Amino acid sequence: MKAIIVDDETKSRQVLHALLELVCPEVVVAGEAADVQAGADLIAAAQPELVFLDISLKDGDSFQLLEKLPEMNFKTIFITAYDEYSVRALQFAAVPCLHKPVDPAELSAALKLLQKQSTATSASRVKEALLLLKLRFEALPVMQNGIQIVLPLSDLIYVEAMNPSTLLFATGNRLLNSDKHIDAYAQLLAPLGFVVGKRYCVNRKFLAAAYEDRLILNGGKTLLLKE
Amino acid sequence: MIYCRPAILILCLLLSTGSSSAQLRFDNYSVDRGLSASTVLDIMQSSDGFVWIATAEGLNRYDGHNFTVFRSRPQANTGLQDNYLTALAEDRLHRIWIGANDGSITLYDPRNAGFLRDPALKGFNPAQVPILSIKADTSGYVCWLLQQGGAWLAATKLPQINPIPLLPNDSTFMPYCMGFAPDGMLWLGGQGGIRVLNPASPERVQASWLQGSTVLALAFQGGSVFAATAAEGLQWIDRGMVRSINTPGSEQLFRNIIAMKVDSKGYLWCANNYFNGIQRFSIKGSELTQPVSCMHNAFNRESLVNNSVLCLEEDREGNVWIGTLSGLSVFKPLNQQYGLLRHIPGDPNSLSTGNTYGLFEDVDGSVWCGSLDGGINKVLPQGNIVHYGSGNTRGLPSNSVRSIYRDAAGRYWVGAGNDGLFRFFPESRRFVKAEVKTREGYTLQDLQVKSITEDGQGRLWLGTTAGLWKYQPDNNNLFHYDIMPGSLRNQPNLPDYQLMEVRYDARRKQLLCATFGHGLLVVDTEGRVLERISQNPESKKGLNSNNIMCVVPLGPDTLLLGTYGGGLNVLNRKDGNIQSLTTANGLSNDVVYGVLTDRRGNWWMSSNRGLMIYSPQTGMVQFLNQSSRVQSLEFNEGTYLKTGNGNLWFGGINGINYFRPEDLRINAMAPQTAITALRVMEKPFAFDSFYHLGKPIVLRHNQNFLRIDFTGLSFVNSAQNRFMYKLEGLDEIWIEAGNNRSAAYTNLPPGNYSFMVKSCNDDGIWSSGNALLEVHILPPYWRTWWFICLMLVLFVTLLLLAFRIRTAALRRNYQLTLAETELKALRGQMNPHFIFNSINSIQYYVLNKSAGEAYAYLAKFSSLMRQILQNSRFSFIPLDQELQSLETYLELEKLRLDGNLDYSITLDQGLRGAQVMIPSMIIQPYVENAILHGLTPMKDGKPHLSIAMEQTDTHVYCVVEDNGIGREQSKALNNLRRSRHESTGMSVTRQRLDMLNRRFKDKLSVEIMDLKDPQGNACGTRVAIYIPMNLHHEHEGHHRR
Repeated sequence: MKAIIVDDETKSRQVLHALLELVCPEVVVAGEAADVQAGADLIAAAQPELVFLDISLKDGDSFQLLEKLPEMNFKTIFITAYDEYSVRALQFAAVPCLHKPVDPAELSAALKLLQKQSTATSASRVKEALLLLKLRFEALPVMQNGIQIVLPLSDLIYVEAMNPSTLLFATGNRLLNSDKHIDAYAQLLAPLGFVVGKRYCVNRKFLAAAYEDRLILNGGKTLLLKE
Repeated sequence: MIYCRPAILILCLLLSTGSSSAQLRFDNYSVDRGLSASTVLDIMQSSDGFVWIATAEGLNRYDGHNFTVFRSRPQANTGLQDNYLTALAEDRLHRIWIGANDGSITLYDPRNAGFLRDPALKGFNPAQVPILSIKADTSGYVCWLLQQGGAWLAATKLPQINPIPLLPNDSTFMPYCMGFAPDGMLWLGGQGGIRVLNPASPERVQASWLQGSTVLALAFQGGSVFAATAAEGLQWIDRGMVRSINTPGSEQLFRNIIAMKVDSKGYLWCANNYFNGIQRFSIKGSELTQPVSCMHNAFNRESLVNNSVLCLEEDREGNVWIGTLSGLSVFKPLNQQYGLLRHIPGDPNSLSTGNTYGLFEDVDGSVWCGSLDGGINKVLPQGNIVHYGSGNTRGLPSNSVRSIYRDAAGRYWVGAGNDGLFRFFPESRRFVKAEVKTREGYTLQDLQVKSITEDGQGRLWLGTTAGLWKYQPDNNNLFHYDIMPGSLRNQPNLPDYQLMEVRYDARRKQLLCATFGHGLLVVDTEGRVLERISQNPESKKGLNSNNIMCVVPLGPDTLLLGTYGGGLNVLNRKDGNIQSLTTANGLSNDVVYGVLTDRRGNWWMSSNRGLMIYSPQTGMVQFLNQSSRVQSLEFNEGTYLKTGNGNLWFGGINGINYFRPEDLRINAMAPQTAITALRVMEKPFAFDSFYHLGKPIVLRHNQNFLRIDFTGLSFVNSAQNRFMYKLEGLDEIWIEAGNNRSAAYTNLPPGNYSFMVKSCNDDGIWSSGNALLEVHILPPYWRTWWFICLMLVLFVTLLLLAFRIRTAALRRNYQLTLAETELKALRGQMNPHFIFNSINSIQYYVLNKSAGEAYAYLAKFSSLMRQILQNSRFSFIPLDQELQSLETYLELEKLRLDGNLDYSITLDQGLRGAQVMIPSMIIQPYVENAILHGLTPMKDGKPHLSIAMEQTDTHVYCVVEDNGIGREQSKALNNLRRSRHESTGMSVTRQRLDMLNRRFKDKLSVEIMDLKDPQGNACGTRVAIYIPMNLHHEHEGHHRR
């Protein structure tokens, strides 16, 4: 599998290279780049199947790099020393992301995951993460019947678990389906001021009262927290 | 009887000739009006206006309304010693000396309302002989006489009363009476004549008079002295001469004199012990004239109350107070000036009856007076009364006489009973009935002739109960005129209506007929009705009432019409205009029986509520309704008269009043006002000492219900005294209290009050000063100044405490916040990105199997971590420690960036080795920032970072300078990033700086400057940090607190 590494630190690139040789010898590192422009050029030239991207680059970040590309026909693994913010978006979109110093086990797990995924799926998930970052977490990207919809968080009343998928209830009697697990929403929305539980993520804005066993929404709708 | 003076009991019928018939009228007070006992032995008006009355049982203080009685209390050491009181005097210190029958003298001091038995007054009278008299002068001497001889003098000027006996060795003299002359000399009269002493040198007799006589009483007038002797009548000592005064009566008159007094009007009053009452004389030169004898008459309640008079005193209003064996009689000259004729049974010189009618003045000035049931009284100009009644005349069918008239020819005509008209012959005491018929056959039989008048041609006009009649005595013709309007005309019988009064208008030759029920009819001399003035309900022009009681011309064109129920109507005959005067204008009654005008233009109206005096000039109405002035409140119709001498006469149901308004004096004496009682919470409060000493009464806050009684000490008509009062401190204005003598205040808030009250006598003369009672109501303790201060102090203390607690909390809070920012700063220093990148580098060395490099890196990394952790334990660290960790950090960064970083750290000479303390973790974030955002994104050139430390007097000055891409470009790059680019390190540092600057006086400051090359392109950033050097000390100071 042809891969490239984009990282602004030489040592990091070399470490990853060494690790790949150690853990996944089938991954062939076809090239390395240190900054945004070089990375983009390398991808265009090498047409890799897999790209390791350090989020933070010398002159920008790897999301800028991805935006420069006309299309994404490769799988992506993100690497970062520390970037909570971006990682939240990646996790929501279920894009593999490794932390430095890279754990060989994590690396091989990520590679295994991607092997099961199609390139298109991987790319669409990356795009979703990218969109979420672009929206600065002020709105949620939701796929509805193959169409990407953006739902402002202020319109989202609550998310209900319909395991494994979820239902999103929004203002104006809108009801959206999401194939994501409630946990993904819980992780994303908890820091954004939602009341989060096993069955529901509820926007505080629409919450009238909260009890141990149930939540009452403005307008009287009751959400039972237990079956 | 305690008066054992040598007196001969004689019953003499005095002064029955030559005395004026005018009776002196007295107001009488006895036990049933509150006097403690009927035997009145001495009377005195004190300087505060009260009248004090010594009786055989107790001391009375009279305030015009009530007698306040003081009695001795057995077993008590204070108070009066004896109740049988014989003498009273007020000394210069306003103490009242009270002499008693048991020989004691007690002093009453109004300042403490206490009766004082002065120890010095105990020894003078070992035999306990009754005190006969006490007199005090204005300069401070008090003299008293003992009944069985002996005179004592004491000077109250001295702090101590020191009585000395007077004339101790004079066996030829035994005093009975005494007085201080206006010049201050003390005159003693008694057996052996008169002795005159100077109280300042009492051992020497200044003069002696009448040494062979027995002097019973003395009276002073100016510089002269009257002495009543037992045998030589009245003697007058004037300018060193003794003269006998001629008296109209017998010399025996003065044998039983017990007291004499010359009053302020110059009358000599002689009080006669042993049943001879009072005699009053006018002093004309050396003669006594106008004798008036006042004796008790059981049928006359206004006569002297008893003929045994014991004492006599004049008050400041001129009222003469007479103490007798059975009560007190008070003569009030201001009431006496209203002449009053009454019926007194058994007194031939009084009216035959009180119910009077039909007053008429004869040519000689006598006044004829009819009556309901007493025939005719003729009041002669001297005042004597002659009766003409059925008993002593002939021809009078009954004693009812309604009208009397003397015609121009000198014939007397009388409307008697219900029997028509009579001719009256006073000389022969004969009445002859006018037996005459009209052409129609009508007679005056069974008619009451209410009014008789005469026209210019000798014809009599009669107002009767059956209308108007004309009688011509010369030819004995009688005419009846049917003057009634409408349906009442042409009746076969005589009309049944009353004509109350007929008056002839000589100028218009008209008769004015006042009818009862039909208004005023104007009739010509032929009996034709010219005009009818009556009530007109439709138009406002008209009389108030058709019941006319009297018609009185006022000037040529005005008629005063007294009505029954409509007040007074004033008719202008020229324009027919009618004005009215009713209770709405201030009259006390709407019945006006008669109207008279006086020379001042006032209208005097008789009514059922006394006399009403209306002043057309001022529109004011005054009233004459005092029981001691008017015969009664109810007057009679047709019974009013103005005589030629200007006297107004009004008759009523109980006599006749007559007076000349121009002669009436008013009571010009402003009354004294006194507070008589104070009740606090409805309980009597002893206030005298406060009142008399002018001290405020201090009450507790819950003693705030006051009732104050007061009085005006005018005794003429004390029931009509009026008051106004004001509680300074509460009332804004004076409150008119009318006749009420009490003021109540409830729920007075704490404060200082002055109660002031003024009084006014019955003639409207107000007291000039106020009676004043100051009351202080203390605030409750929670409103006292000390309590409020205490509370204030407590409050301030609490406030301070609260402030302290709050600041402590704030400081704690601040400390927490500071600690939090410090923690954040630490986290900023332990930049995860840096840490994991560093570890990543170590991983690289490990993977590359470069153990030495890995070890060195690890050592440096752990050294930095250690330094950071160490520094973070302190808010302030020494500058060199900070620099050391900065260096380590830079080394690591240099390694991470593969040596692609130059840096330099320079230190000012002065700072080397100096123990300068700076806030920890202040510089590093700027360094990191410079590397991350300034140097790392550099495309060309060698990144360089310099740290320079300098020292000024007060500050450490740290400059972090890089040659990176500059803030502008860095910002542009960051904006392109999708990942979060906010440098947490920088925001935490800013926060920390804010916290420190909030805390310390000396401020940290950071300046960031963009560096430009000569072409104007960005070539780096310079950050200058100013750190005050004494920040650390300030910090230490804070902590020590």
